[in-house]
Amino acid sequence: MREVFESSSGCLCSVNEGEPFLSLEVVPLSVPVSSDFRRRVFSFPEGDFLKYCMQCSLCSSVCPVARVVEGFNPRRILWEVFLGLEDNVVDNGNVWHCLSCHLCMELCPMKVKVSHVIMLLKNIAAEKGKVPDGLLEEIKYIFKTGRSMPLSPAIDKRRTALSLPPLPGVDVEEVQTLLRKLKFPFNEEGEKK
Amino acid sequence: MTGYSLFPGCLIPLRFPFLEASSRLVLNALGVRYEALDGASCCPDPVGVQSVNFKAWLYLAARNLALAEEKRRDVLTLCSGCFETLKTAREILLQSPPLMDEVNEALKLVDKEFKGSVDVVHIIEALYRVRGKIKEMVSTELDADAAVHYGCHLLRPSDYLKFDDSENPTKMDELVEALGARSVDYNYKHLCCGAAMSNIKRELTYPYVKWKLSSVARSGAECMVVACPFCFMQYDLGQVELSRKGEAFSIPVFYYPEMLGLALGYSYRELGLHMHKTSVTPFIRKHFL
Repeated sequence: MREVFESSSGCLCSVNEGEPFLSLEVVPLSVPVSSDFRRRVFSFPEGDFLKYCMQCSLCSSVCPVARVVEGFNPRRILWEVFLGLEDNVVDNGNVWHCLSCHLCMELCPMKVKVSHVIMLLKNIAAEKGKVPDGLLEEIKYIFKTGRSMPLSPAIDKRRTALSLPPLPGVDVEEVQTLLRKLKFPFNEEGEKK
Repeated sequence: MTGYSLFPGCLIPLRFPFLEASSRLVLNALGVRYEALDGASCCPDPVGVQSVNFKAWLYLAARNLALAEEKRRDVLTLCSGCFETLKTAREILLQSPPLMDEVNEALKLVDKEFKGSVDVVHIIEALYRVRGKIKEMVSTELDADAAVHYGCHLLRPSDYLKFDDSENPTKMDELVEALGARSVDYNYKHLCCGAAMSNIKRELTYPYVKWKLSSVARSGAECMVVACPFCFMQYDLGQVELSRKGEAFSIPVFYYPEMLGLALGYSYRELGLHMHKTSVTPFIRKHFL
């Protein structure tokens, strides 16, 4: 893999689902690579298992997302991470489709933490301010209330009808203290920085 | 340590309170003790929050675990998402001393410490532990074919969750059979419900729901049994959404504690079954009246 990575032609292997053999595809030299990006993925808990990936494509063939979202291919994502093609994997928004069902990670014969790698890629995209609106809303709400969604009057009525006790309190200040320690690409009102 | 700290999460108490009601009723009936966990926040969401910021996810999960440690009671989650978050965060922290130091440094700010002294248990596991008692208490056998759906976050990543054999799980099937019902095989038994994509684009989850329901319908099962409020939402509400697109199904969907509640003699009203979007009435008329 290292030879391919360093070769002047910058070959990139790709497997089209259903094809038994690897076919080669050329990555133009103009595509930037980032060693920092690779190091970051490898330094994540058990992230270094990625170096054992043999591109067998089992992850892609069991992936439920690959069946529905055209162009979503976990094997290819891993390969691009291995090559350090940060812009390719992080910027195209594809990674946000991952359901985190962890089937890929569970079945990987080389124990690569596939879905955790993809989760980390989403983190890197988020640092650049690329977060889907639905998730931004969720985090914003947790920061404000400690919970991920509001209690509507209709549901409150149902809770009473079901003889449920009132919801226990959340210590929102503690939640905010912890979240303020971290960097987010948006401010406390949820507006993008 | 006696009993559990109940961790209902967000989706159950704030959207599907009837699932909380059925859980409390069956735990009470079986003599499983629990207390509310005051001060706890969102678990947080293992997909949404973890995807945006892994550390934010880990800090808040560690704080919830630290709260439970102060009470010296294992955490009992009603939702598979909360189960995955709390159990995975616990295992990751115990396996990574540098991360544990970092998290505890942050937790000092709120006067808490994570030690890893309490475990995290999903309600299916808690019920599985008392399955003998369930068998004893269920007087009339439920003569029905049921399609069991485990979902993802109860089983995987199995290295962390250690709930059951992730490829050949049997605990939920055994629990359904403890009521006298038959757990049927069907093609897409282990297909993900797709709920996590709802936050990105709701329509993208419909194929998963359709494949699952078609496969359940073909199996001849009279109902589905799920372990998680997200899966419940996908199949219960999902049927209504699919019918607007011309795909009609009428498969009642039960969260396992609801089905257990029925078998233990609780009424339709007590369990809040009238709050389902897909009617369960024909099923109840046939089997419980």
